[in-house]
Amino acid sequence: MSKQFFRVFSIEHKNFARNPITWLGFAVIFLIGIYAIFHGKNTINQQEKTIDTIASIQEKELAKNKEFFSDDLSHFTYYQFYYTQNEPSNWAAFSIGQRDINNYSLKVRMLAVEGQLYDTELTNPMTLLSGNLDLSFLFIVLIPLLIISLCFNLISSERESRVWAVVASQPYSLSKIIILKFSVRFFAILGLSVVLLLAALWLLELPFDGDFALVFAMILGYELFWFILVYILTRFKQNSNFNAVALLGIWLFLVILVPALGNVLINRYISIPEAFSTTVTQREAYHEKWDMPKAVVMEPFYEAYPQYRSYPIPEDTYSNGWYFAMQYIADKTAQKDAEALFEKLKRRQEVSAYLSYFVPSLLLQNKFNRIAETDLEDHLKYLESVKKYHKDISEFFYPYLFKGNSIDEKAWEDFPEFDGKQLD
Amino acid sequence: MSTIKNIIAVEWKNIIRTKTAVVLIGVFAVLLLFSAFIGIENKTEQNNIRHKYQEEVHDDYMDQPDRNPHRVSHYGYLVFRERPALSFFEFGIESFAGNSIFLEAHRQNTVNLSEAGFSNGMLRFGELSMALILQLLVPLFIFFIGYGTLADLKSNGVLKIMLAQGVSVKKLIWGKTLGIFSFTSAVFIGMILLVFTIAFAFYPEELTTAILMRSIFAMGLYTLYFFICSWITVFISAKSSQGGTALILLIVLWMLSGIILPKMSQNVGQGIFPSISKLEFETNIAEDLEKVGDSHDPDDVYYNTFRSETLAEYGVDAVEDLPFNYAGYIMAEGERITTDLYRKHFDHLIGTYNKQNSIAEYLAFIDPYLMLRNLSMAVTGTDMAHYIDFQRQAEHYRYAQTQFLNKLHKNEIEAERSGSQRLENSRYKQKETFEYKKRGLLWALSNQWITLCALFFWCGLIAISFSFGLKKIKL
Repeated sequence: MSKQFFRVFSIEHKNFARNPITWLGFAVIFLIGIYAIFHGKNTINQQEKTIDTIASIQEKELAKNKEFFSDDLSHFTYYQFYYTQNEPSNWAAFSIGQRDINNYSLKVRMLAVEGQLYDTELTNPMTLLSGNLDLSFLFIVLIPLLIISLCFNLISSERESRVWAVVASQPYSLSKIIILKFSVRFFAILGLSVVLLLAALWLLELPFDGDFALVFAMILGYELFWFILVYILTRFKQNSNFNAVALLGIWLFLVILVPALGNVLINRYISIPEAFSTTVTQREAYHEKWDMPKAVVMEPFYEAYPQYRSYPIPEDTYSNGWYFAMQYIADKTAQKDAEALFEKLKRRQEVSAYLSYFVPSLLLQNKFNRIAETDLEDHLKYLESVKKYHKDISEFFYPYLFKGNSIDEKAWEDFPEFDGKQLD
Repeated sequence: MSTIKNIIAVEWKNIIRTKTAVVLIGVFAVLLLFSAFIGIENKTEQNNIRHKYQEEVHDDYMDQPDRNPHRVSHYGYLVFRERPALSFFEFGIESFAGNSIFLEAHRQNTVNLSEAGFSNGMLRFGELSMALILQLLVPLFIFFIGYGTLADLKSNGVLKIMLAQGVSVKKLIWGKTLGIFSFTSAVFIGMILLVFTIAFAFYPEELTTAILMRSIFAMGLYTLYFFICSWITVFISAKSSQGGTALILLIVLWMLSGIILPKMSQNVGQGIFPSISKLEFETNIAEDLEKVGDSHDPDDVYYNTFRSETLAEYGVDAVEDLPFNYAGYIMAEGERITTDLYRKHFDHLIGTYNKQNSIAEYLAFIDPYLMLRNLSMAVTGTDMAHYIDFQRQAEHYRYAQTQFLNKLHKNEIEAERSGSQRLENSRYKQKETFEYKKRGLLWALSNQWITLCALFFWCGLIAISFSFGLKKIKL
């Protein structure tokens, strides 16, 4: 690297910086970036605010129902909801992912859990369709557009304005000059990205750790990928207009069409009728038990919980043990479908991960959502934890329900608490 | 008139001579046919699955044993939402809308199991549908074949000669617009027509009058959209000194109106008109309900008054002396109250959503993409209005069904055996099962009157520009 190279670099830099279009492009992306940070922050703050209310709602309802049903435990367990929450990670505001779609504050009763897991959050479907303008969207979708718009005519425009002939007649290596022109723009965009990432670090209070380094490295790699792509295409010596259309086509292909196609195919070839069958089976399995001999009904429950065999279940009248055992049995009957559903959802996740090795935009999105814990995998973990909590609660109440219809005040000290998603 | 015809003919020749244009048409044709195939297949498959489970639920209901009516109202009914006939063409909010709803007494459940809830992030990039290609990709095609149409003539001096020969600017712009528009429409509207014909030839039972009307309107809509795109292209080409400038400007407009504005408008709408979470929604209803009264509370003022009024009306002293089962009567009253409250809150929530969406509707006045998208979703039955309509119909059915069962309880169940007495299952078959009442084109459009105004605005703008604007082109 000679002194001369840096001189040319600084001239090219001035040239680049003097262009009002450049400034406009950077200003627009910067402003959208700041907006995106605040949009992410707001969206997640809203969710946190909802989550913050949970504890007091739970407390209030528990107190009210404990008093109201003090001598009637079965009515208490029928009416009482137990709240759970899927806390957002620090990165969630950076990459909102599927958090706006999936329910993050499920509440369940001691009834069959399969019918309660898929309650949807209330959201405007049009907002879901449009998606979130968060920072991950900016880096994945908009930055490549900025790269294309800055570089598509780097060489062709000078050739078209005949400047190239003059440049080419100078004693510098042509490819060096081309690389130089690209690197000026690369560093400018990298600079913008760093500024936005640092703004996010500060405004979203992200931890400065390995994940941050990984996100930065991925963005760096992604931007390099686009620069190389534009570089290769502009070397074909086509005119500016062809470059513009071709690059836009590639962008559309990589950022919209391929993921869109992949999604349609995954939904088609890993279809999940189990989502419906779980609901249908669970409901029917529960209600048919009402009209069956109670001794027959109880058998699957005793297999799992033999310690309750000794408590009598009257054949001709209602009993607590029978009623809540039926809830368990309904879940048990739907278990096969429920497990198949989870398996298929995991497979969807795997296929998408596999696809992402060929599609950079998808790779970034998958990784960002993983780091931010806003993907399907995270939601499945949450659902598993809700199921486990439901089981803990049921097992807490079984002894009292089988013995009688009340619970002593001291027993509440052992009431299970929801302890969130479990790490693998 | 013949001048315009000549200009159109030249334009067609130019496009066909451009190799890239022909390649693009080929690529788009493959994409369109492929997405049509996937769209039809997916829709049919989904509806088959839903019909299968709907039938299962229906048969289970019909074959249920003799039950106590209140048991039946908790047994409830599961409804699976059918995908609209034209959703193979435009997905709209289909993937984000729930697909099954459990209808039972006392509780209004959400519509659950949306496709989006079972998807990882991939679908947020967009979904490959015919509509996506026609809405976003075809405009790019139009820009590409049209950006240089006048600008290039300007920069190579041909325009000067043409004008000197007495071709009027107005005719030139008309001719160029019509040339690009007629070519694009011939290719792409032709393809839509082909796909629709094939689709309905395979599934003739889907082609009702309403669907036919909707399809025709959709085609008209897309034709108009292509015209607007051609017009903008020619207009910008006429204003630009060089083809390249025109192309860049068009692409920037495309990015703004097709990618950034739609996303931003929805995000901003959500910011200005915040909507509440489900938890808040339910808490609000519960609070309102507490104000009315609690039917479980023996000392409750509202229900005690209700009881004494009922007793007075029938001139008796105790509920046991009433000529009917009081338990059924009070359940009906409770259901009426909760349902009124729920509907009030639900309407309010949907009102907020509509306000959020109105930003995108008003923006349709400056963004033809939004104009097309809103209307396209409406006419294909995949917009929010149709989804909410489904929910309202399901809720009405739920209420009617529950009250039917409460009435049985009131009139046929003895008070002493209120919880255990069973009625013959034939009694439950009297009530019809849920069937979503499909809506026509006019209903669909009536929900989109702002966007519809935008549509007329665009038509007016074009008409005005051809009558008054652009008499001269700066050379």
